[in-house]
Amino acid sequence: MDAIIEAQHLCKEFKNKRAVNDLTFSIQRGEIFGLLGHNGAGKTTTIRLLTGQIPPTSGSCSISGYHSFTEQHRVKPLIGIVPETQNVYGRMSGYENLLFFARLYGVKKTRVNELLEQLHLKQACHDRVDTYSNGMRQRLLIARALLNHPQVIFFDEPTRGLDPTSAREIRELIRQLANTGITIFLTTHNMEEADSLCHRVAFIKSGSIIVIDTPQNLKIKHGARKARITLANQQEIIIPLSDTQYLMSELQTINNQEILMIHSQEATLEDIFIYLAGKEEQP
Amino acid sequence: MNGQRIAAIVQKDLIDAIRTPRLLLIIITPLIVALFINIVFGNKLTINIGIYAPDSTQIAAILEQVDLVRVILFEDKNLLQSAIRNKSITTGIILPQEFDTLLLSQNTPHVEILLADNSQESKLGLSLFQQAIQQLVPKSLPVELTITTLDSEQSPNNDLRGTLSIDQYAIVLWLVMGIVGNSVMLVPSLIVEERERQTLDALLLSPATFAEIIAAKAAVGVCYSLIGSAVILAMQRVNITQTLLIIMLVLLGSFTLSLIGVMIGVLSNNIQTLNSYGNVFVFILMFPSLAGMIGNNPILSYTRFLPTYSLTQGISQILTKNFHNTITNSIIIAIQTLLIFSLVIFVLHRQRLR
Repeated sequence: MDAIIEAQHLCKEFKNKRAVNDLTFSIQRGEIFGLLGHNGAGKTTTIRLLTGQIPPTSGSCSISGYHSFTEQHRVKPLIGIVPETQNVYGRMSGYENLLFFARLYGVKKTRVNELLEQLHLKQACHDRVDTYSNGMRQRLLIARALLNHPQVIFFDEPTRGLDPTSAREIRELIRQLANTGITIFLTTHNMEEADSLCHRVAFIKSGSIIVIDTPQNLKIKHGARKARITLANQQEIIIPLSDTQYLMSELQTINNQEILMIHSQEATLEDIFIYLAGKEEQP
Repeated sequence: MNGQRIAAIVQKDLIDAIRTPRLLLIIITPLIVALFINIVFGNKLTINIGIYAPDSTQIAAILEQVDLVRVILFEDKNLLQSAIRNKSITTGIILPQEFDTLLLSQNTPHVEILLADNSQESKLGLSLFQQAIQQLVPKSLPVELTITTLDSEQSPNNDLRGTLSIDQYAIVLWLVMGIVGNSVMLVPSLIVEERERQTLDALLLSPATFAEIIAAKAAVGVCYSLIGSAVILAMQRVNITQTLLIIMLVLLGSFTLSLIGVMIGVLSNNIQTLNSYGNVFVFILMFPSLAGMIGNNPILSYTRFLPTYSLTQGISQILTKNFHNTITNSIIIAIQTLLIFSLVIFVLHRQRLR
């Protein structure tokens, strides 16, 4: 597998504040990669650097071998972006929004109709976007990102502010896109979402990546496996499995009580995140 | 620069501007004012001609037949002079005794003409008097004229109104108002709205370049200036040659002013900031065209460097058929366009690299 996104010692400073600090990573074609971090950790800045919206202070990043900032004309046709803010033209209809961007990309009208169909927006396509629900607007943004048949799509907090049904729909859509071979770069707060979607995740804190691996490996490496024992009297006991001596002593304390259930309990990605990244920084 | 992408953005913005109440108001205000003035006052000019004649004359009757003219007979020369001084009369005619008899007997009577100022109305009154005489005696002017302009102190260069009739002055005012509004308020609003809605990011992530986006925004200002100007000129029934020449001048002037609009838009972070900057710019840029209202004020000479000064002068000269000076003003506007274009490119380049 070859890398489609590469970042080498990427740094970005804003007025003496380092927003992104020495990021080095690569993402393979077809991979779903999650960048997880607190608010202000540098996730959106990283996306802006990777997509060439802002120049790096130092280091470099590339998409498909093209420098993101200096070769924007080559990078733009390869990428799609679903930003955190729903930046659509509210006074225009969904159809007009897509048609406008289709003209900018030099894409045919048939692609617009195809995407409206695919994202279940056909029925409301002539309504003003102002009247759309959050979920519909998010689907419209995804349709816009897909107009140019991109190789990579950047999703910045794709399910933020959505109701559970819409959020599930969007997650399913991301999975479907990944199945078609599109590389997905995702930033999120939602650890469960990252766990279920991403092949690999990176935790970012104060602009630096503190760990990068598959969710499973992170849980194995950094999470303590535990056994949860439920007794007949509804009492629950959680015992770490890593410490055999402690496990045996705890089992003895149960004595003659009837055991109702024993479950192994894995650490969640959220546990690992909190363990590694700590609590949210105060501004 | 890709023309197709620029056209797509222009088309989107032309429609989007009409759908936004604030922007729609900027576009239609000069048209509404022009239409209102047209409905209330009509587009007909009234020329008040005062006549002092010791005995009866057919000249008064002939002049009264002219649609635009109102004739007022005076029994006292001094009263006529004071009426001209306070400009309730634009042209005064002082006839000698037995004027008609002298005229018909082919003597050359002496007539004293008093013009209120250098305005077109005053000159038109004189011209109508000459035509009336030739209606009575069809030979090359059989009278001896002494012409005195009572308020001739105004310099025609600085006093815009002095060279124009009220109708023509109104046309200049509405045209400049429309161009300045569309260029200095509409164009930056389009940029600031894109930034506030964060749709500018989406545009910049598309194949459209920053230069194409900016060019498209300026083009929207030019388009609305041209449309608005054409409507005003049609409403005021300006002849086709003058209309075409003015439209060409508007094209050049609105392009220059739209570049200023682009710069304001790029430097304004939000609509509030834009409104503050924009209003100051509108006031300054409108100043040369307000000259007719404020008279011969020395401050006007400081406005010569403004693009609206040459634009205002150019439009006035086309309306008064002084085409030679129009070319000079067009060249000045073209040079200003190049200077402003260079400045805008410099500012935008710095902004982009931030």
